[in-house]
Amino acid sequence: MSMSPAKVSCMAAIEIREIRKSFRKKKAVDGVSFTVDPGTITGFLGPNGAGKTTTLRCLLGLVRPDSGEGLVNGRAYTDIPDPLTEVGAVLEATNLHPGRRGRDHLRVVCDAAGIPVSRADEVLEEVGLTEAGRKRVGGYSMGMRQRLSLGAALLGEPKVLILDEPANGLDPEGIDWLRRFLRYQAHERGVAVLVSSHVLAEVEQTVDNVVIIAGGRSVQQSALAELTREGESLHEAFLRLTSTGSMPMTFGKAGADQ
Amino acid sequence: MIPLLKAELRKTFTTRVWWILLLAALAWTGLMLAGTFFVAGMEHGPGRDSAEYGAMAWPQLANGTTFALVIGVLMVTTEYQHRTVNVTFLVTPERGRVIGAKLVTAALVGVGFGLTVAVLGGSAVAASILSAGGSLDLAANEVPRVVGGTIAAYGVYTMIGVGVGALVRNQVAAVVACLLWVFMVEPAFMVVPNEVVQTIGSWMPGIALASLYSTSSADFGFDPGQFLPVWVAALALVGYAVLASLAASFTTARRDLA
Repeated sequence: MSMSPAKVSCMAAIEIREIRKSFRKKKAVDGVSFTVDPGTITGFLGPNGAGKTTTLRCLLGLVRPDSGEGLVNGRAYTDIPDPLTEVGAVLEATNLHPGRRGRDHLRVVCDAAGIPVSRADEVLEEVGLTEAGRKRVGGYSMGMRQRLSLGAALLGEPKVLILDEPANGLDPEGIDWLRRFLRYQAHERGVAVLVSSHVLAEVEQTVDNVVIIAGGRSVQQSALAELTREGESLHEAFLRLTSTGSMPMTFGKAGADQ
Repeated sequence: MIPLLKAELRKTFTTRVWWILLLAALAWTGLMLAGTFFVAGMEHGPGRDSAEYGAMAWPQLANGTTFALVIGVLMVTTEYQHRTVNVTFLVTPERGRVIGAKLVTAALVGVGFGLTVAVLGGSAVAASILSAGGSLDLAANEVPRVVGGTIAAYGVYTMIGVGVGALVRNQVAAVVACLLWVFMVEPAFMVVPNEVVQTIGSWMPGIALASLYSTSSADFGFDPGQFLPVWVAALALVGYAVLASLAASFTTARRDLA
């Protein structure tokens, strides 16, 4: 897990190279490339169905890309011997057994990853679930499930975090907590954070860089400040880059007449 | 492998399903034992002090194997049902190792089920024989082989369940397929009065298993002469377990988790 500083400076923590993937001849991802550097938060944006989740699943070895590859610290996820100590990933907060207690979920992950089970309690405290950890997940709110899933990703104290829509189902307090949490991870601990979202208002407050994809292709990678430099908001820039023109622009009679 | 075994054991014992199925196995076996008990004590019955009663009663301990099969199926299919398989394969990207750990866990859990049923049910059988004034002649009814075969049958059935679950993945479909197989397909082969059909039937997993714990005078509605010799049946079962594991690992290793 330890890595010389020289190596860190010349290698991106996450590198996506020309990933392509079709499901039953339907192109889900059609040539996406980007990089994420240590100590930064990158927002991975795109409309629903743009290919964000498929790209992340290819990166994490759950889906086999037709071509291209995703690398974490220079190697494929599936080649990392103890992936949890290097990468923490959350795909869906619904990947939990409702009949298992939160604490047991974390302990199962500790066992499989060879991490001492005492980490489970430390992480429960970190995500504010010390009390709730003794209850079965079936009784958790969506926000609690998100925090428990995030907790599992933190067990190995990774230097790379990959989160798919982590703000889904969080209340305003939870969103505020997530924002501070991500900033702490990236800016204090030097973690490379990749966070997908389609909630732009949330992203605008948190991320350093943006990657925007639409229709399975990359359409933008830059610093957030660069994208919004000319006074355009992230919202406007996003629509300009990704709009398909398929949504009606007017409503009611006026729309029908035109 | 030890960390994965610990994780799989913890997975199994941190939800309620294991003890529900164990109680079901005990209840079903108990019901069958009670039936044998009353039949033997009826006017034209053999009497509970007879060797014939022992030969009828001891093989009844294997009645709970269906529930062992079901827990094996559930050990895999709940992972797909609740999508925890995502977390499992993120922690351990080499999926073949996960399947291997599940098979070993299944063997341990199945043997645990078998031991529990054998101790509780066996005590009941012994008590019923002794209280009727009969003698506990273990050699005459091959009790060590019958009970040993029963415990092995629980272990093998649980492993076969893991194989079926990994192949089918859909929880309801896998459980229904197993129940139809055990309660319809195999019995159908047993009752058809045709030598070829019965010979084919004798190689089927459930019937090969039955030859491990049956006694020569037990009535299965199937001429016991048709059973495979114990050692042939044992080899056939090892073959089934290997086939199921290979098929399970191969398909699991290649499938996209989209």
